Amino acid sequence: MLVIHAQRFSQFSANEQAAYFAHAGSDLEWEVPYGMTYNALAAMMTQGYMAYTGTTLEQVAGVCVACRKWANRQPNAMFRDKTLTVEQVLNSRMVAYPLTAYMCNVLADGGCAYVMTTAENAKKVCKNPVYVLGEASDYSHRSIIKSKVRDLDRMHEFYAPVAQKAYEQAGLGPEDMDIYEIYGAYPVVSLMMADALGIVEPGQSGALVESGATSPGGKYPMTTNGEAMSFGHTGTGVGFALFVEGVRQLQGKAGKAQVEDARFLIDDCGGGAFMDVHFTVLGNQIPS
Amino acid sequence: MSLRDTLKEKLGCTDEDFVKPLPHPTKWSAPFWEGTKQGTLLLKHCRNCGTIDHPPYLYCTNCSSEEAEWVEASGKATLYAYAVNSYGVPLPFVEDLPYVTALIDLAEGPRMISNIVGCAPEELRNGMELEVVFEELAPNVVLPKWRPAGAEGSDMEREYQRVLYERKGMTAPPSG
Repeated sequence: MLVIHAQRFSQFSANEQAAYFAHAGSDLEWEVPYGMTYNALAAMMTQGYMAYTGTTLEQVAGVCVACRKWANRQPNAMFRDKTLTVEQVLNSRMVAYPLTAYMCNVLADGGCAYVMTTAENAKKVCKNPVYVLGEASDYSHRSIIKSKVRDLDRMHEFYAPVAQKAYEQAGLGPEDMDIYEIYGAYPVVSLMMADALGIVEPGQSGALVESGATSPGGKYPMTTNGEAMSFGHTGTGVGFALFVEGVRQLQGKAGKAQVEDARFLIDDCGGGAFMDVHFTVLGNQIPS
Repeated sequence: MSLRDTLKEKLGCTDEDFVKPLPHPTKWSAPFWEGTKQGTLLLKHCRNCGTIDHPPYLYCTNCSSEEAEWVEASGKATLYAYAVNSYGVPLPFVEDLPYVTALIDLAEGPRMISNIVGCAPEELRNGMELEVVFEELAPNVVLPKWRPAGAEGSDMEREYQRVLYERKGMTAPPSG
């Protein structure tokens, strides 16, 4: 089965985009009349996460920088040729305190595709297939005010059991993963997700990112295409593209972004106003 | 040249593009919006399990019971988290910049998204105490917003608010 995605945002003007993305993620009766937008939502989540975990704005910016380092190794990334520093992120235009312009994802035209088949058939059509070893999903909320876990510093309590289910189904654990393909769309969501992966104490993901562990060459390679912040936000295609990137990594086709000898990874996808999560564990072999 | 005129010239938009989006009450939320017009904050209280739901829904989001009553909230809350919007908002909100959107924890339990008014952004603190204020968005449409508790103060200010409400053809909130 051929699975494809394509998205074109460039036909919209900046205002149409601002209006659309205000309404797309916000409740028309209870949020839009207050001037809510996706950026406002991510900014509130960032402010709360920082206030209640002690994560610094520099650490939040560090997620964007790590993503950019990966994107710089990707020939198809929107920002493949531009480097980024923490100072640049912090000094970019303030969009919604504490969120600066470079902490916001960038809309992009793009597409991707993959071929899906049974494990049995895979060997016949592909030399080095990648297997879906485990997967799990859960739904949290339509609006953040009704999220299953109410505290922004404890969102991992929603994400972690889902990741755990995917690990268990694969018969693997967090430390078996060679890559963590995390899609947050905004840096704070990536930190909340990272808190749930079983590789760091919850609330310490900012420090983990700051240490360089999630950047190229680090112990926990994370988001190896640079996702919505640096690869480009292709709407529903971001999670899709990251999934394809994961498959390419495990097939050894990731070029300059290749994580050496990658065998297993965990990938996540979600949508709406951070309403749900789906974790997938992929492998280029079936663990014995 | 005003910001609006500049944007109209630059983007070719019209006054219509600056009209604020209004809440459109549903059958089950209408009492809430009727309440704000009277200067009261009403919450839906489940008679079966006691859950206070906000936003109000057709049935209780905890136990699915349809047996509910409307109770008047204390108008007290605390600030959970906030954002100071300063750029890239839809046109109807451009002239309000900078404005604060926030997650607000009502004393009765529910969390609400609203604006903080009457407070300099640098004075905002997580956990600060808030009190409700009512802001007329359009004739017969009143939004509950929040400001630092105790910011209102004097009887004189309440009287001023009452006169202001009357001039706009609204019912004044109960004094005191």
